[in-house]
Amino acid sequence: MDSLGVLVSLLKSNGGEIRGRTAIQKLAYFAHCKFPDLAIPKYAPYYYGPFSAGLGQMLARLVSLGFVNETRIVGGYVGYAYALNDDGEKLSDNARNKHEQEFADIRKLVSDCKQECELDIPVLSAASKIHYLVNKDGPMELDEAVKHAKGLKWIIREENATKGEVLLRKLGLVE
Amino acid sequence: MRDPLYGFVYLTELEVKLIDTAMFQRLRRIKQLSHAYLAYPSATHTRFEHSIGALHVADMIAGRLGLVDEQRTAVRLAALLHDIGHGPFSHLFEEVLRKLNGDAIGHEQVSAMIIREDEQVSGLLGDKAETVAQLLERKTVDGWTASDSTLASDIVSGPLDADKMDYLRRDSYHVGVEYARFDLHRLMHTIARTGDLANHLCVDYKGVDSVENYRLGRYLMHTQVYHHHARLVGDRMFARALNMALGSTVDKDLLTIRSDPREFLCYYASLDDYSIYHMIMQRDNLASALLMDVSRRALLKRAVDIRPSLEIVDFISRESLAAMDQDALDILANTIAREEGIDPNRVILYTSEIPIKLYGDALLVMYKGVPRSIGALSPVSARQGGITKFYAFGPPDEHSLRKIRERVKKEFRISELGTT
Repeated sequence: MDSLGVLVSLLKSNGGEIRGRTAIQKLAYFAHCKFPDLAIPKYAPYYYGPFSAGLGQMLARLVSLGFVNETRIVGGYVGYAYALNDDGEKLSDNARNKHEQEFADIRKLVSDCKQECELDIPVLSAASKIHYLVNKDGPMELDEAVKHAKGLKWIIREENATKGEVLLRKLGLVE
Repeated sequence: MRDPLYGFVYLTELEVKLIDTAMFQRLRRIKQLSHAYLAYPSATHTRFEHSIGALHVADMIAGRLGLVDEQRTAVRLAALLHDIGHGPFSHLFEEVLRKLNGDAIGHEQVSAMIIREDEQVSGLLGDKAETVAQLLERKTVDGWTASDSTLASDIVSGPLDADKMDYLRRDSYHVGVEYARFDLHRLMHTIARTGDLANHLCVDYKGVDSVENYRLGRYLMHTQVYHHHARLVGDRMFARALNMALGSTVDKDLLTIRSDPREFLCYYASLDDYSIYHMIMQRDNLASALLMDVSRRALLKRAVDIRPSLEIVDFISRESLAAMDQDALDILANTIAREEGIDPNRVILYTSEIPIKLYGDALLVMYKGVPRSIGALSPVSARQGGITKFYAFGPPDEHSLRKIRERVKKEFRISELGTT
């Protein structure tokens, strides 16, 4: 499945809508780590954790080509919500028909994340940072990961780190 | 030093010496706006004067925020050297660098490499070299706090940085348009820091209208200047010629970064807008013929110029376009040309994307002591999505243009193509 397919599958798996670009980035990051066959553009460390510029570009392309509606969520630090429109729904049906197994894997991943943290962005973000560091520097204790994160200017709050670790276990991304 | 935007720009002895290095002087021969001069004849200003302008604006911001001397000096140097890694025709050459060295290599990485490894530049910078490189890489500077490093990096590169504040006004000035002549002094007067743990650059609420002015200017420069179709076709013809010359006229091996980057830097130092044209045009081949056409402004013409979101109704066709990168478009262009009996070097397909939304949310405004995204405070409604346009360029004869048009219509199941 290509990155456009992954994005519409992620949205479809959450009832057609996901709130927050960061949430989409992090869900796709977990999918990228768990299912390496998915053609998701590379992730690199960025201000708010691992980030794929290529995936961001693809999301923007889905919006500008009329598959996904982007709406502003007002309140505090403003973010965006992304929702499949009619053509986007057709695209996701297409992706499901063509890549049944990958679609099912993505659906399960989103469902696990929802169950564990309701797609709470700070938790998703903390989990992705911890996973990125463990993947890069090898296994480490949680407090060690939080310290390492500071080297990349990443701040992980303790409560999010704990929840993030639980999420990673649920997803089978750490032992 | 005299500057048309700021009058005088004051430089330290070290800055003058850095400007006199071969690597920095090379920027005199790299145009700021690539082939935009094909649409706007006076858009021939270079990275050289922009870099000095960026230093000046960075210093204004640093002074306004009260940075200590050591940090202010480092910010000035980082702004001065932020573009030193640009290759010929800037972002076009970056495509080649990424192709050969992977996505992680762009001009920013080459800038940091020059700062650390170029004998002249790093020799002059001494122990400041690492600080400047770390600022450009947005890392925590050795011996600085993370929040001081963030603020200093934001001044050089961020949503509201010295780079953009200089180039938008400078490009406006040289192109001869008024779009980006925002109120720099009002912005400077209201620039602030968030003061929280992250310590980002922001503006005070009373400066919000100046920021709107800046954002609108930036957006219009993209739609009116940076993505002008004549500039795009000039760029794409050059990119096509460069790709053809890669491996023969242009040395692929020397552009591949290895563990010892000196050989790469030595070759890179010899490349600029003029030398690359000269290198390619001294041969008698297809790449040279293509560049000869660009230099005579015998540009390919638009066969197709559409907004896919509106004009490609069939969602599968729209998806297939969305999934195509430039390599895939080049393959399709080649197929169309061969099947329609047109010279394959004279058909170019290109998707032009303006990702900068008019009202994105990256800018922070200090409102009643709390940093908030400007989107929350903006009186102007958001515009959804970026702008994507799809172009097919071909030889100027109507017969070829019509054939390309028909093929594109068929390829993406478009019922009617409006004329441009």
